[in-house]
Amino acid sequence: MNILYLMIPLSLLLGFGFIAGFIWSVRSGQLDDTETPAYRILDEGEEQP
Amino acid sequence: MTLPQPVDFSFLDQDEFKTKYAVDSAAMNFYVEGIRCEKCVRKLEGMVGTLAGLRRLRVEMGKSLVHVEVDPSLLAFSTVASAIEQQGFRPIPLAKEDDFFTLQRREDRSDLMRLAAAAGCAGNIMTFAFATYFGGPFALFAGLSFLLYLPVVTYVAWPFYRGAWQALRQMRISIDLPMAVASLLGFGFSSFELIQGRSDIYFDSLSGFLFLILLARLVQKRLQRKFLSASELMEGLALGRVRILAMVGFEWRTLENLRIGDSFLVTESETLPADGELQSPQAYFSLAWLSGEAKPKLFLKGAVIPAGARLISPEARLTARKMLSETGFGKILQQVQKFSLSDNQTVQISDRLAQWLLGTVFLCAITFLIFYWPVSAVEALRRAISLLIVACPCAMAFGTPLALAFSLKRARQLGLITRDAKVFAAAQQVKTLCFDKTGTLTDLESCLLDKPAEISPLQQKIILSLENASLHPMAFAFRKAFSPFEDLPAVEDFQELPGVGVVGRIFGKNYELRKHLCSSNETSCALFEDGHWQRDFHFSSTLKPTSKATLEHLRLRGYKPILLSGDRRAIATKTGQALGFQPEEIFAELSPIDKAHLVTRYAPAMMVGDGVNDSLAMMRATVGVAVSGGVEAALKSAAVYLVEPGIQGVAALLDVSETAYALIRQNLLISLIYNVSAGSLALLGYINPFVAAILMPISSGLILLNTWLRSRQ
Repeated sequence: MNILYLMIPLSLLLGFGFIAGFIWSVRSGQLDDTETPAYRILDEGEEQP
Repeated sequence: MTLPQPVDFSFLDQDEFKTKYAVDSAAMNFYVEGIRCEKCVRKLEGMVGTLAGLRRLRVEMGKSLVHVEVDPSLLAFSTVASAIEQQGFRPIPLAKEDDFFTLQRREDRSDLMRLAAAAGCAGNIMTFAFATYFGGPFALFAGLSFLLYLPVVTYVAWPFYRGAWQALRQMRISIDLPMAVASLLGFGFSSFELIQGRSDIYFDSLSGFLFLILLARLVQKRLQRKFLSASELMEGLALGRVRILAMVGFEWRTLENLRIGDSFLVTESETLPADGELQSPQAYFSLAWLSGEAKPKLFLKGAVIPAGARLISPEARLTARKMLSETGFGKILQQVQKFSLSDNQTVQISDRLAQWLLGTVFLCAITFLIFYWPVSAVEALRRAISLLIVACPCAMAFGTPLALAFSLKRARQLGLITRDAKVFAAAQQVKTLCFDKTGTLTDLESCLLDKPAEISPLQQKIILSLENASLHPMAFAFRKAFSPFEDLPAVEDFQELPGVGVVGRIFGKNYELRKHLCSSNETSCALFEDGHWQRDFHFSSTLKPTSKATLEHLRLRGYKPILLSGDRRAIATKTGQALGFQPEEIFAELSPIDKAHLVTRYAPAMMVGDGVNDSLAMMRATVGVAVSGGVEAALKSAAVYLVEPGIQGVAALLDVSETAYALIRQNLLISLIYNVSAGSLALLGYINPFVAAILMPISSGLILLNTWLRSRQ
């Protein structure tokens, strides 16, 4: 059971890492617009007709 | 049909406008309608490479926003706006203070971060709880859960404390209170148990519960926003500027800098930003916003044209007579923009129901706690917490505003402008439908039957002068029939008497153009000079194409339509019979006061009529529906205004309100049954706080799902 003392901090670290990442993405505005990027990716950069 | 002229955006480069619109010297936000597909995004964002000095352009489709950043030394904002327009879109610059999107964004971000914190903490607490079930070291995991619950009880639950406290300060019980109490009580109870070394610890269920509630609230907020997004109202923001005539040409000014008496210029397809007296000899305006009539109307020099009218001819000069904020149109614009669901009767009713239920739940919990404490203090606390969690009437508080928001959206799609959502409740009571005849069932657009050649030029001039300011159908018929004169005589002591006619003094003589006092005939009027009859004028009138079908449909649905007319009995009977009214359902030769009396006698009744002439009856009616007479005047007395000509909107209104109330009733029933049964089970000890925490958000979810599914039909 001693492995717990390694696993728990690791799991917490991982968990809070993800929360921190998510909060960073929200703060930097990546989740403000969830609609347009889906269309933007379709742009292949060809000339307009 | 000519192509719309390119809009002049030069005003955007003036300092005055920059301080109002630009975020900083290099950035501006535009509201751009019509971005629907990948091609539109590409077209707009592709401008970055082709327009020198355009640093950045980002499209945000969900909100129809375009963020623009330029190099101010190379590129002017007006050029960007014109370029966007050339791509086939209509950019409307967003003023800084109007930018509620910034506020919305801040709120969205903090919601998401709170949700993330809740999910992270709750998820980890759950795993620890899970581990103890399989025999993990209890003290260690319970201690860790306690630590992880600390951010939940402080940061995540903060909006509940704030909401509950704000409501308590106003002597109300808010829906946030049970959450706040459950969160704090559960924390205290569980911490105590932890110190005592016992196993009754509910950090897992409480954090899960708070996470799910936050999630449900987020969904509710997004759905409501989707229903209430008022994109068409953004048109109003285009009114922020005006061309003021200077010595040479004109200069752009912000609307706040327009003063009464200033001369200003409007060009084709622009909307009048203030009530203005026409200086050009003549101009065509569409009053679609004001009277629902899309056909352009001819106005002559000197006429005062209401704000909100849209110019159809190439250009017109006007003198400002009334500021936008003082005009009915401006007020309506503000009112519709600030549309609030909170002062709504049904929301109040369901709020009161929720308050009552909350009070009952708290009372039950306290009573139970007192009586059960001697038996088992721990069990008493546990069941009381379960009850508080499970019986929280969230579903009730969510369901009604959502259902109303959805109905308002549907009503707007169907061409109904409503003053508020109260009308849906009122429309449910209505049994009798009172219809006005002229302009409601018969056509507004009348034609003068007399030949203009038979009327002397002097009389024509007098009539045109008298009718110049009037928006009555007969006034338009006169203007259409007579060719315009350059030198119209001035009118003194002008007065328009609703339902009667117009009076005024010209060349020192008193002229009246009104109905005969003895015979009430709505399709004719007469000219009087100093009280002496001069001659009669007759107008044509036809049935609106949809009147008959709609009336039949309404009769089939069990409503009782009656006809109220100010017209002569013979004419009213003829029209009434053509529309299938029984003789006892036709009331003729009524004054506006008689109509009001009849509406009261047949209460609860709906009055469908002209916004101005029937205003008294509409105020007395349970629901007033205006079909003409202009939005601004109409919404003073009527609750609903029909944008589309014809009365089919009446059937649509009854449909929408029926659907709305069926949905509200269903939601209330579901949550009532759930609350009572789950609450009893909790007190009997069948539901522990853990199960309660799962059940409660499920009920809210069900209500949200139900409303959402119904709205998609």
